[in-house]
Amino acid sequence: MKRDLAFPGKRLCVIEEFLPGRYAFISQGGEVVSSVIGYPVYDTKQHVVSVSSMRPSLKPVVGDVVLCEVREVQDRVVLCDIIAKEGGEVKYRWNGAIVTTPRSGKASLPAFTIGDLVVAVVKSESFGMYELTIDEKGLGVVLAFCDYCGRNLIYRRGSLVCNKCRVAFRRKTVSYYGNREAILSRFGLQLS
Amino acid sequence: MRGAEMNELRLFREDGLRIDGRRVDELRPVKMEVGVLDKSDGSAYIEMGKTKIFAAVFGPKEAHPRHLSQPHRAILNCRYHMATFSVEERKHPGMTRREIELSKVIKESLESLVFLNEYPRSAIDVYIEVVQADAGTRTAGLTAASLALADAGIQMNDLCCGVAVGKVGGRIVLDPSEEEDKHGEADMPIAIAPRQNSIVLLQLNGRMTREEMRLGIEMARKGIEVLYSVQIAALTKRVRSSHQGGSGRY
Ligand SMILES: [Zn+2]
Repeated sequence: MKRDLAFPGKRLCVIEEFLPGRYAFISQGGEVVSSVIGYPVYDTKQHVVSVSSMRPSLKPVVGDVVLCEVREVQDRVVLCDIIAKEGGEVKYRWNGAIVTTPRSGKASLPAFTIGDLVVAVVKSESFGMYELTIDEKGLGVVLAFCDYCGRNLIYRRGSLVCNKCRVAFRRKTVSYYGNREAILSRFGLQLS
Repeated sequence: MRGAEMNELRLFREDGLRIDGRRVDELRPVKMEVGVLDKSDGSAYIEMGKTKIFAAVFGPKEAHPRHLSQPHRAILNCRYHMATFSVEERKHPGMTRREIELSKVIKESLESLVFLNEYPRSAIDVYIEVVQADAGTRTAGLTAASLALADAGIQMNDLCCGVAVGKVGGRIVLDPSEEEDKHGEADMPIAIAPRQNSIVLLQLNGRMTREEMRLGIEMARKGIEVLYSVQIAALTKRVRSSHQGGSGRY
């Protein structure tokens, strides 16, 4: 198996040898063909050939840890813009949704306010909509705002408080809540 | 046929070659480069004779305005545009009817290459900017656009290459120059996805017999094999140079 550079339309093998994996497809003639520029990777155990694209995806993919900004809070769903991802680039803003399943007994959802910055994981993608979750460890709000006056909330003894309104909010936070440098460096962002 | 005879005198030399010294089935000098623009997600530059074109790709990104987005596939926007200084007399900077038509034609050709259903609700924007026009801009633009899309990492079933075939002085010639195009009897731009061996663009301006058309397509196929090898060389060079710390995000 030669590891020549592949590009869109380049024949990799016939389907009897390997099945198409990521960035490969079956042509009308029954050949496995590359769909991107990259080097083919032949998995001889699974009999799958994929292509390692020379371009990292500009879109978030399932499993990515992403930073998002809450845009709209509804009963069962929180809509947000994905603005960055860990260890990669998200060039354009993408729509994400944190779906909240009401659990018996507990308060259904850590509340969000529009503008909150949240670290979440991409759980699934269907038709360009990303479902996000903050259920796992290390995920949650990194910067939140007061529901009433819009000020930054300060982390104090397990809850977030607004200094002006003297109100405490319960939200799932990350360990580096409010630490701008940590947020920026983690997501490869620059202050602009 | 007086006109054709005149053109034969004007556009062919005594030794049977064309006025610029080419054989009837010879392309103009071709140059292609991939990844020439840093700000776009993918880009390419092409020169065919005196025709010089940049192509830039942005996306996939979310489609805006949202009501235009398609739930199951990407929308591909294409803008073919000629710079004001690309022709002898200043062209007004807006989109002419011809540019709008060519944008549509090129868009439809590119749509047959891109796996649009891989990018639901997304948009892919393709910009083709002709900086110097000397015939064959739609096919050269399409050739560059397919390179720019590949450079952007967008999934496609093939690249594509295009070239025009002309009927000049009664003879079928490959890749006519502006001079030949102006005095020619017919012009037939053709673009092919070489590995799929499918024609993605074919237009005919003027008249050709069935036999001339067959000959023209055959001639274009041979020219396209040459163009395709130049495309592959340009892509390979791009990958090599980016490994050596060149520009781009590879
Ligand atoms: Zn407050």
